[in-house]
Amino acid sequence: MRSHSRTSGFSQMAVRILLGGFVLVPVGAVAALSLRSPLSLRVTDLAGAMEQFLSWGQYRNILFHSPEYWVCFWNTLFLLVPAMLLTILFATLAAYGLCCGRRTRGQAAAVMLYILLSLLPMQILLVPNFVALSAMGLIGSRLSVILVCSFSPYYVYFMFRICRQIPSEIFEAARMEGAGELKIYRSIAMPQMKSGIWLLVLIGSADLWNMVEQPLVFIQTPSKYPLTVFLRNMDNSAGYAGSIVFSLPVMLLFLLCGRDAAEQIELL
Amino acid sequence: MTRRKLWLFIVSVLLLITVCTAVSFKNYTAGLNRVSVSSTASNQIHAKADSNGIFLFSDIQKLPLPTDCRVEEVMVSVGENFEEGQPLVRLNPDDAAILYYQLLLQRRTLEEQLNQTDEIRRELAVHSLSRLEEQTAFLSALQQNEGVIYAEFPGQVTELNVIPGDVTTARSSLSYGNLKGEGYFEWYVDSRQYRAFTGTTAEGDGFSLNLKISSRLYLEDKKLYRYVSKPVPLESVPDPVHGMYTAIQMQYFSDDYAAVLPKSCIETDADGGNYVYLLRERDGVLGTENYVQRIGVTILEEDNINAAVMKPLENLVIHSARPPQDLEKVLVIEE
Repeated sequence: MRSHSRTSGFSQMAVRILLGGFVLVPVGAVAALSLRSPLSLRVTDLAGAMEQFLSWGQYRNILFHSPEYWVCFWNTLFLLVPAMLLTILFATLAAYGLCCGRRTRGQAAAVMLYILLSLLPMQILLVPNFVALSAMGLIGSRLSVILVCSFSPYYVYFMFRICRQIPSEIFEAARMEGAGELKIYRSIAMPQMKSGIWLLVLIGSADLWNMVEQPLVFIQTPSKYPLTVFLRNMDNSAGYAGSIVFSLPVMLLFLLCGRDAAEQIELL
Repeated sequence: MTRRKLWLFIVSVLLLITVCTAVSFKNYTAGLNRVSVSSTASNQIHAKADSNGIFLFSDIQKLPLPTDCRVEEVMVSVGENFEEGQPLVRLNPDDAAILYYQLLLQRRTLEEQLNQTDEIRRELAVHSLSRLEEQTAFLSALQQNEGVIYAEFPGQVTELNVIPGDVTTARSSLSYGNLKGEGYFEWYVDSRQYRAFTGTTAEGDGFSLNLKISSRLYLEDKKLYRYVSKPVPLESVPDPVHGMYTAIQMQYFSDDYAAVLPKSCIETDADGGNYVYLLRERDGVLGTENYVQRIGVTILEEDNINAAVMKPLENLVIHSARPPQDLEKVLVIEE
């Protein structure tokens, strides 16, 4: 009986490893290809094989010889940071607005609307967004992407779920003490939502870090493109290493914050 | 995770990408090709061909020496100038006398033939007598001068094929140029250098002459053009020597071309086509990038330095630190 349960445990682990490995195949392939030499060498001996398949050439090219790569890296940050700050502002304000006060049908309908909107694929909204931004004269500027990404219904709903966990009695007590809504938002709601905001930053950063379509459609200027757009045009001499280096910050961020984020998600 | 760790992470990432950005830019700019640019300009094509020409007297006189006379003395040499009345050669007077009397006998014989009825013989005798008259007159004068031949006008010895002790033959002669006459230049130009030359100058010690072309002849077997100038007065050439070498420069100036560029910026591909590189701009990740683009050109005319092409070109790469590649990004050196 005991032997049977041990065998079952092993087989389960084997299946998990297999599935996990299967999921990691693309990442592993990119990592392996990033170690190929930027030059195509004629491999005749072991030394040649080592140079061809185990070279830091791509990383050297990316880290020290590709200013375009780093300009796009900075462009990604120039889009991500303001978009993230505005997302936090708008999402927390909207979430507070939905949470405070008594629950009404209108409030429920608004929440439902946010849920429906967050289900819409981003590609569907590209054309209407483009028309609106074009009318505002923002096509070609970074602000176009920042604004589009800042008003995310998904993150409003996300923060609504966080904010809803704050006991409404706290808000009512503050109002009885004479505090205004902005004061309550700034002094009570925001500190209470702080861990949720960090989670929002984590998820939102990963989302914004990887955006391709919006910059490509709205910015249209190569010098302002984020790295995701630039990576499309990179050749084999550094492209794979570029992908690995590009994904490192987000991967490290998840390694650092992953546990806290998981705990926070459990509370939702 | 503590907030401190997170900030440490963010600062580390920012620091790292700042360093990588700075190093990448430094390496990138150090690896860029540097070019200088200019534009085509309206100009002429100027070609010149240098050659070694020889100067020759136009008026060459040949003084035939009487045959069978011993040469006693030669008072001049080839290239030497002489004045009018200056002794040139002294022949043996006895030989000259013998020859003189022999001619007198021949003359008598010919005079007898004049009385013959055969018309052909009579005509032949008439012509031979006229020639004998000149020779006897010359030998008579020679006898009077004790065998010395004097110059009739100033000249320069151009050819003399006897030396003292020789016995003159029918080929013995003394040629000389008339110093009161004219001279001309003769030179050759490689067919590859040939142009419709617009000016020719001859330069020597103490003179520079603008020459006019008298004739041009193409020598097919030697692939050379033989030029002969129109005569020039000998006074314009100080110390003229028949056959002296002279530097000849032929020049060619084309009409004005709208687009002339330095020949050094034209390159030739494997098929023999000519091309240049033009500086272009494009929007790139780093802003407005400069790059070079290869453009084919048709050369209308060229000289050693410049070439005329069909259309004016702007932003023409005239110099680069290393050979440019098509579509290569470059840095532009401002002049």
